[in-house]
Amino acid sequence: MQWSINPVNNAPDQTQIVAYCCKHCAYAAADLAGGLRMQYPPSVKIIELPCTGRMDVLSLLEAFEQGADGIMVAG
Amino acid sequence: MGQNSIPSSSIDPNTAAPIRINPNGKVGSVLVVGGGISGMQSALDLADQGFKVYLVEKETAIGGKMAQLDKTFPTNDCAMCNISPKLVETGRHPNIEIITNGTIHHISGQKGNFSVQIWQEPRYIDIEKCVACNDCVEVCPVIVPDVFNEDLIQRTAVFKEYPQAIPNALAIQKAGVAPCRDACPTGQRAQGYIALIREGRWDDALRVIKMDNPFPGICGRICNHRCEDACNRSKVDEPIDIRALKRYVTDKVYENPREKIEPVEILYPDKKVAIIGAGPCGLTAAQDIINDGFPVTIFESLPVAGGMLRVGVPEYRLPAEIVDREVQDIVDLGVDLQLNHRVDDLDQLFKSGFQAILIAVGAHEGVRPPIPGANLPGVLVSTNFLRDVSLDIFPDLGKKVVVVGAGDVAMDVARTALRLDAEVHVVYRRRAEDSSAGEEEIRHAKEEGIEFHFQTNPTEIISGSGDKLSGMWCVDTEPGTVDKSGRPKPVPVPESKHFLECDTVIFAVGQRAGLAFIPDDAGVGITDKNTIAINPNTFAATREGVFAAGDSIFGTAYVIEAISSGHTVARSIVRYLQGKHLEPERKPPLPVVELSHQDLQERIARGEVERKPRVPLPEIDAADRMDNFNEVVKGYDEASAMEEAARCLACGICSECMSCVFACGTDAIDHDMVSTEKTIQVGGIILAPGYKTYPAEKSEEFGFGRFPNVLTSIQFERLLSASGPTMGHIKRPSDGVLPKKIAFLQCIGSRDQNHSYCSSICCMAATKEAVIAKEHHPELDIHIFQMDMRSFSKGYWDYFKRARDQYGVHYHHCRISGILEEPDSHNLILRHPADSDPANTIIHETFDMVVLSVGMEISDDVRILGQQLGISLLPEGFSNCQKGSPLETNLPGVYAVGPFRSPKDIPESVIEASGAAGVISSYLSDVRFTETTTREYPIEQDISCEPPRIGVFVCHCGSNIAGYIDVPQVTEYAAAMPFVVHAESNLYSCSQDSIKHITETITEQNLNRVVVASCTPLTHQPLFQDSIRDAGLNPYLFEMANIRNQCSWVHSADDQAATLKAKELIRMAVAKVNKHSAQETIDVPVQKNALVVGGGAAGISAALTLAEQGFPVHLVEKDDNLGGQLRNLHIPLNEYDPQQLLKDLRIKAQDQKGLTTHLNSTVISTSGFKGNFTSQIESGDGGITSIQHGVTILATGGEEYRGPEYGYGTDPRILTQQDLEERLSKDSTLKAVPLNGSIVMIQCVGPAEEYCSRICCTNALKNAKALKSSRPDLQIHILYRDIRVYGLMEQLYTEVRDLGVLFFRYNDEQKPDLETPPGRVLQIKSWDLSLGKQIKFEPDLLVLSMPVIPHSDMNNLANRFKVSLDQDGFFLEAHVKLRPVDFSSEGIYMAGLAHYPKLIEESIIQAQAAASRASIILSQDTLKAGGSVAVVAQGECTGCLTCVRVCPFEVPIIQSEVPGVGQTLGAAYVEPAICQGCGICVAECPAQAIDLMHYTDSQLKAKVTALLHPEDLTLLML
Repeated sequence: MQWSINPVNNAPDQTQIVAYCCKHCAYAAADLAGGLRMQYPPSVKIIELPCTGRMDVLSLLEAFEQGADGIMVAG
Repeated sequence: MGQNSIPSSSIDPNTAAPIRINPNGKVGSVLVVGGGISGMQSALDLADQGFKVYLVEKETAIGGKMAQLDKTFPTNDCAMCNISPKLVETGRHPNIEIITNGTIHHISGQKGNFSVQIWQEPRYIDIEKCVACNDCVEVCPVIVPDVFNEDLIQRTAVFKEYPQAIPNALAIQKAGVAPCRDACPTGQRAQGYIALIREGRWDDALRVIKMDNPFPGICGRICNHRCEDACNRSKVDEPIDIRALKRYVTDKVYENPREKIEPVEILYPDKKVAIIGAGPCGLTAAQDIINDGFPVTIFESLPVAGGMLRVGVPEYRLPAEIVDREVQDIVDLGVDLQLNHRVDDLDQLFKSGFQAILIAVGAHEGVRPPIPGANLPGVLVSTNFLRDVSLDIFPDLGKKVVVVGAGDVAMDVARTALRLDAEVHVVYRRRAEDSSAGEEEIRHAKEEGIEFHFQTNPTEIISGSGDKLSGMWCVDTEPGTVDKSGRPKPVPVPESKHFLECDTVIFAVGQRAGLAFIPDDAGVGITDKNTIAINPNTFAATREGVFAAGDSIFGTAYVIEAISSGHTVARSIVRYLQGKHLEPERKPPLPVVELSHQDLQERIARGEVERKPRVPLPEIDAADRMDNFNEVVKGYDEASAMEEAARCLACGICSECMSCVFACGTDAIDHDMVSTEKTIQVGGIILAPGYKTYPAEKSEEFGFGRFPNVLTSIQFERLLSASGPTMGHIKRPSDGVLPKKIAFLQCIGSRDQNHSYCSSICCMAATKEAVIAKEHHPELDIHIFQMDMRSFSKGYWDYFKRARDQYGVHYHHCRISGILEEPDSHNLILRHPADSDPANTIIHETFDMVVLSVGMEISDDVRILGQQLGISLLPEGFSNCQKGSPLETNLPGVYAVGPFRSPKDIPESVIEASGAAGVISSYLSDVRFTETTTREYPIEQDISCEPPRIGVFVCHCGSNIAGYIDVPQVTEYAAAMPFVVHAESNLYSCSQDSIKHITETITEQNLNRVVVASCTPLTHQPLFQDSIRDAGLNPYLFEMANIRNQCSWVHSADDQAATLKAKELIRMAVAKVNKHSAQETIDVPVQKNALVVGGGAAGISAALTLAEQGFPVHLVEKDDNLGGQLRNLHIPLNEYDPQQLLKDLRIKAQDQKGLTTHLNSTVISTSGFKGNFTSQIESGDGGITSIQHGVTILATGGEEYRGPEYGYGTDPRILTQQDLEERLSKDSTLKAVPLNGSIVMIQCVGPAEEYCSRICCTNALKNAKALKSSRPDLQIHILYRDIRVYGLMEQLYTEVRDLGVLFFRYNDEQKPDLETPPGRVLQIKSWDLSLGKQIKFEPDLLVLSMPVIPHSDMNNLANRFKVSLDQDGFFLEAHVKLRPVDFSSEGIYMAGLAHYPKLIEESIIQAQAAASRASIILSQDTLKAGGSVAVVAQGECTGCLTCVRVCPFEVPIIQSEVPGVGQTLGAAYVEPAICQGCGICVAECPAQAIDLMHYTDSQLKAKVTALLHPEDLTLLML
């Protein structure tokens, strides 16, 4: 199994925002934003949670530690 | 009953469901009519209890009115966020069959076993195939008002009502056949190509034309355009110039180089067809026949093809090149065209191998009238003359030509002769208005200098020198009696004979078919009019295999008829060759759309249609055209064509232009769908058809429809919605500007002469809309004009106070009588009394926008439904329900819920919906699970020891994803990821064949984890999970990457970025699914018993509803007898006597099998969880009974407040309403009160100042009415803040006022004051707001409307059952709108006064609802537990109680006997059967001893690492 990364796909200057979204509201809202073709920066990557109550501080800090430029928790 | 009943023999056995009828005759299925929030709730409750549900909705999607709302009060929750999960649940429930576009026609049978006929209108899109990709919407050219958005914007004729609609499929709206199409013999879809021209889609427009007409360039010039004669636009101004538009688009496309047409494949080489005549009819038939795969040869006697089009119509009207091109398009299909080939013998054709012959020779023989000299050499006939000129043979006409006749052909002849340099006269025996020539033709001829001699009849032609004539004798005529043609017969005028000199006469008085080649023995019959005898349906001649069409059967006709008959005869010939019956099957026709003048006036008034004449066509000046054959009439230019096209009214809505059919990638569109009828058997019926809003344009004084800035409340709701027409921005329709000052006018269509009821929701809805608007723009100045603030439900009064005090919404007690508009600014002027002024001076105030709070009405459809089914309706249209069984209609087994019973808001509708489900299950319980199906899956494979083998399926979603994302590149990228053994892309991953393919691929490739990169998991995950379960995989071994809603759609401006992000999202999904493991669910057995606490009306009703289903019930009552507050009610509110009700309930409870009543008892402890509770009941004698039960219903009641306000308790003349009722029940005439005495009632006492106790106004009015009925002499004065009767109780308020009871309004600042020295006359002073004066009352009795308050021990009770209370001490429901009888702890439900003050009937309904919810658990043998739930690693637990404290559902417990960390006893435990999977305890656990399955720390971390460190992916996944 050979996994090689195309450098274009991991441009170091690419901003990465991790958005933790509750699937009942914020994730559904993001879906609707898509339906309405509202544009936002592609740097936002949504991770679905069953409820934002699931989100703990350690996980947030760890995402920063890994290099996330910003984190959003929406729910 | 219904009039539209059909005999049962006409039921299609394939569509009738197999019915298993229980031996006792009951059927285990239920019909729910109406897919709004109540219909869905009923359907879900029943389906979850083991009944099959048919949910019939008249629209194309379920969701009802709630789907249109932006927010809901009093929580300001997003309405769609609340309803959307219900929509999905309803749509996916295996035992709910949704029938959209459905109506009920007829019901027969009885309670337990009804037979129902359902009529389903076609949606023209196959729900099974449609994947809702919206590709059809992109191409649909028809624009109509968007009803879901209350006509504020437009949508296409193919549509989905709203993005989240269920079924998730589009539909096509058709009103019928547009009159233009109906009038056209070929059925040209004029509306369709006009719409496409409006959009500048020339190729698409021509494609539409060519579907029905192979000669668009020709018909665009010379058609007699019946479409225009039928056009509805002529009722507005002038018909659309359809012919000119057709010509424009044809010319536009023909400007481009001609694309080569490929010959069609000949499928049946032996079945040759001969066509005699290459005119429009023969050519049309040739095209159709060869397109069906049969070889065609056309024999034409002339040297050119095109028939009359080519040799009968002069160049200046129809250039030959247009004809030649369109003929060539047909010949190029592979038709063998033999010119100069005259056919003389039909037998010879058959002998040479032709299987069928079409005679389409047209009518080329000119007619000469039988007058002397008609055959002289200088006399010509029209057909020969025009043909010769077309073939460049120019006869010598001499100087002066007389053309006889004044039809279109005569005009062609005259104008052609003129162009050959002759002086031309037209002689016609009738009047000018009798001429059959087009107006335009005569105008052109006159412009060119042709002289007309009307009412002139030639009698003899006289020869002259050589081939020339000297002239003709004529007589004048005058109109006589009307002849067969409908015109006055020309009668010769005596002594009017005169001579008209001329060199040539050309007859243009008719033409006929030249059938000389058909000998008498050919077996082909000829009519006495010298046309071929045919069957008019099939065009078959009398000889087998011979057909005839076109002018040779009709005589002369127009080109469009020739084309039409060509199509018809082609269909017959093909059927003949296929050996089928010649007569085609008839399809039910769609109605023709006739727009009435009134419809059109309304559309003009709404601004949808603007008066505008047709765009004129340019012409060459007469002077420039007489010496040549150049085309006289010019076509439109692009701008004019688009402008003219925009005038079309789109009468049929969908025009069947077929653009959607070409665009659809799943072949889901079927324009030929027809209505279907099916009959179902059901055991019970719930009617939840909902309401419609009052049409505000009926109240003309408010200018709705005329003043653009007057909106309805539901329109304003759409403006507020982020997914609405303005994306949630409040804009004035007139100028798109944010209004500064908005007025809401209440009771528009409620509480008026035509509406005897209160619509119940509008006060709160307006308040909510005001609050939300203020949240958008705090600077907005909002005024609400109302009569009373009817905030009578839980949390509503508080909400109102917040709106008034915190948000600064202004309320005025005033009903506005009309609106004026400032015409320039479109600002609106209201006239109302100044609030601050005690003299109530009238002022004029200007607003930027006015919102009309429109009330509820029952639609005509629902009234008709009621009548058809035999349901008794009130005059207002609401269902007239039975008083003892509040939800039941007059038909036993048929129930009414929601606004169909009376106006009401969402929670009450939901309660009634569950209540009706409860009542139905109480008599259908023995046939549960007889009609339901369970989905079977193969046994799950254990993959826990296998290395990951991941499959990735990337969806194109038509162009929705593939239009922006490089799908092949992304798929290739996915294929290279670690452990990914299979990656592929699909056009539509969710289409049925793809789903099956995924299942097969899992098996073939031995996959053990699957990623689908497509749309949103919220709608599609369950579908894909099913497909992997079908392959034996656990559903949790799955993950979705949302590359559509959250990638391609939102980054559509940047394809590269979208492609890159899609790769990242898939990478994250692959990393996470790699860490997924199978999640097991376990079955937990259910204790099929119930505990009901509280023996009032609610408790007894709940207990009965459950016990009747066969579930043993323990009913615990703390008093020594049953009845609760019902014991204190004596005066009926409606016809039902409360004490009789109490008696009935007690008897039923006593007799009910399985119902154990524990009097003088309390529940002292309870433990366990849903399905498995254990409780201890202590009886009065101290004995303790322990029971096990699956559910608990708390119906512990409330009581009347008895505080010291207004001197209560100090004077026997001061009573509560309950005291008064009690006294009236014993002494109905109140003997102690003197004649002409007086009574004062004060509303909103004590705690009711803080929350509205809902029922006090109704009780006061009820008692006042009883008093006035028995003692008309008494004066009754009611001091109130707002009269909060609601729904149909408004009628009681009206009645009481009519009885002479007087009402005085006070407010919180100036409450009434009791100034009574002890033992003296009672004295009350009150400031009356309407009069602006202090009023003094000296009543004989003072009656205080004391509110209902919760019992004092509610706190203890709440602690014991681990349930929550609201701020006023009542039970707190799980969700105030959608779960109004559930506690947030599962398995526990509430009913009655302990939830909130309510009327008896409402308590009973709520009890039935609680029983229904409880039955969902009790009807199951086991409950599923597990899946995505929190799991405690007990060995790491410190027993710190954090999880116990933070869980909102009170699930975690400490198991004191289980060792935690360091073997210390006491570790937390989360019961999987009730864990909601929110993960709050996981986040909060300081020891990190809890993890949430499927959302574990390592799984979430894998996503982040995969995103940020792709280089570590292999390491991460190992």
